[in-house]
Amino acid sequence: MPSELPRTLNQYRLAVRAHELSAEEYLEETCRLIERDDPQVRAFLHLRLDAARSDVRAVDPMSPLAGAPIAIKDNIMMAGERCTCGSRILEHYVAPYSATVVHALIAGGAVVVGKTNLDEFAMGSSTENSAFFPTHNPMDLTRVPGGSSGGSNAAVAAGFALGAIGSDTGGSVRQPAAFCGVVGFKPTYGLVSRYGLVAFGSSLDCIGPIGRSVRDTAIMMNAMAVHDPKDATNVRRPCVDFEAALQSTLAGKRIGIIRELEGLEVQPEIAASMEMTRKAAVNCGASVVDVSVPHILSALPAYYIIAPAECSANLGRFDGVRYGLHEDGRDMTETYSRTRNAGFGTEVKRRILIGAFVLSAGYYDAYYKKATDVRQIITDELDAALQSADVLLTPTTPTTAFRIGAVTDPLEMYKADVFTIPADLAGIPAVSFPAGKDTAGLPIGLQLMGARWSDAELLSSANVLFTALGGES
Amino acid sequence: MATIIDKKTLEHVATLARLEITLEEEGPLLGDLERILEHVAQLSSVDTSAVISKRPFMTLLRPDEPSEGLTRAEGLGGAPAMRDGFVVVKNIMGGEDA
Repeated sequence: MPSELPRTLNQYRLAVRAHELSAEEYLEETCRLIERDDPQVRAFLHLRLDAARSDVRAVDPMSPLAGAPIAIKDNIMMAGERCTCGSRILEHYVAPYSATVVHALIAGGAVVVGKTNLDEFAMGSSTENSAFFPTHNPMDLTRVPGGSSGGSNAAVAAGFALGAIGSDTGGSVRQPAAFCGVVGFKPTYGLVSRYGLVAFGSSLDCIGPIGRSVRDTAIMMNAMAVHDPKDATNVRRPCVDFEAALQSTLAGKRIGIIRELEGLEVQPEIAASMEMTRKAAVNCGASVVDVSVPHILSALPAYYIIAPAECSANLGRFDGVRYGLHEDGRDMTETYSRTRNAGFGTEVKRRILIGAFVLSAGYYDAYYKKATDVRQIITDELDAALQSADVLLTPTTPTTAFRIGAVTDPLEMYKADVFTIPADLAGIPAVSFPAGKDTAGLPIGLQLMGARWSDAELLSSANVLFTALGGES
Repeated sequence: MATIIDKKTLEHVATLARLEITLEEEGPLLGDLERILEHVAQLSSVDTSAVISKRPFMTLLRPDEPSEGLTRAEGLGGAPAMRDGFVVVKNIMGGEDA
């Protein structure tokens, strides 16, 4: 075994193929690290280390993922494993089948080490809304890892996995990637199957990869972007090799800066990182263009109508009858409400109530219809902006990771998603990549958004910037 | 300024959502919901009169052909109470439970 363990999935794969490292040895090292550090980080809700040790023995070292340990957010199902969604209502639920992406990653040679913590039903931006425990940021254990895919991002940052998957409804892959100093990618809506993902906001939910480099997420996408007839929203597209599409230059690319976001208050070091990255883009051959998305600041209020509306419908299925927790009442109605009251946490209840309100008679047009119309306006404006620019560069978050317990106001927490939500509303791909650190040494993440189905080109642009800023190629 | 959501509306919405709101929860919930709804209500200033929705009206379905799926036991295995392959529920038509 080499004296220094590979840092990225790509390096790992090369070492395994060159017989410098065996998948079993690497998994053993990973298990040791998890057993040593996860009691502090708490990235995982459930570990399956013995099962992983047995799985890795059957892996072909020449397979695309070569036995690499990966982690799965606990709202994505893996047959025979618990799938709690970070909620009491599913605390003892065992998945009867695997999500298509889980099948695809395992078929590609990945080994699953565990299921990761999340804000309950993916509703939150800090992983503090997990019904079980908060996850800590491996870069500073007193801080949140972001959310809702906080466990998956923390696992990758802490070295508990070479890659992970999360779900992104309003930024839940990208915002924690920024907080943890890793790469998080939300693909175009419809590119990656969501069969086996517990639904939150069906017109928004995407599954995306998390890695320590942009290349690693491209390698994972090669396994994940398969057409799936089991997901009616999954679109059949020509096969793309995301890794082969990575170029070494931005020559001819136009990087758009959204005028309307420039007035937003962000932490000074994040503004400085934007400036540094702009310059790096020019050095790599790109031109920087000013673009306008006039209604982009309406994305946050539109999202906090649409997502709760969809969640109130999707979470109607948790009724204490078909699966999960059951609290007996005098009749069916009381059984439903007792079960749901005991099973759901405060934030989930808040969103269900907002959703039920904005969909209810008398309020539907003023709230839900209005929000869907505004969504269309923002989508059209982003599509137009992406005609005059190839990619759009923004911060991923207004601040770096905040302290655990520091943000208690739900509205303030929602504002952490201001930069990530537009891509979800428009269904366009977006990636967060590390771009320096603040004065406290906490990671800064910047985001690139691209046109619908330009996922491979978007990752290529992100890879050039990420490596120009010192990241692993 | 008139409130957007009052106690009565909250109770109505909670009934629709099949959620019980305890007395302790009611005060803080009303405050939070009011502030969130006030924030999202800013959308009313956006002119949407010319918007044409481009969202698809149809769900694309795969051919309706039988294929291997979950067995009955697998599909129903998560239910809190089962009897003879059926999910047990309360009597919904009134009268005593069997």
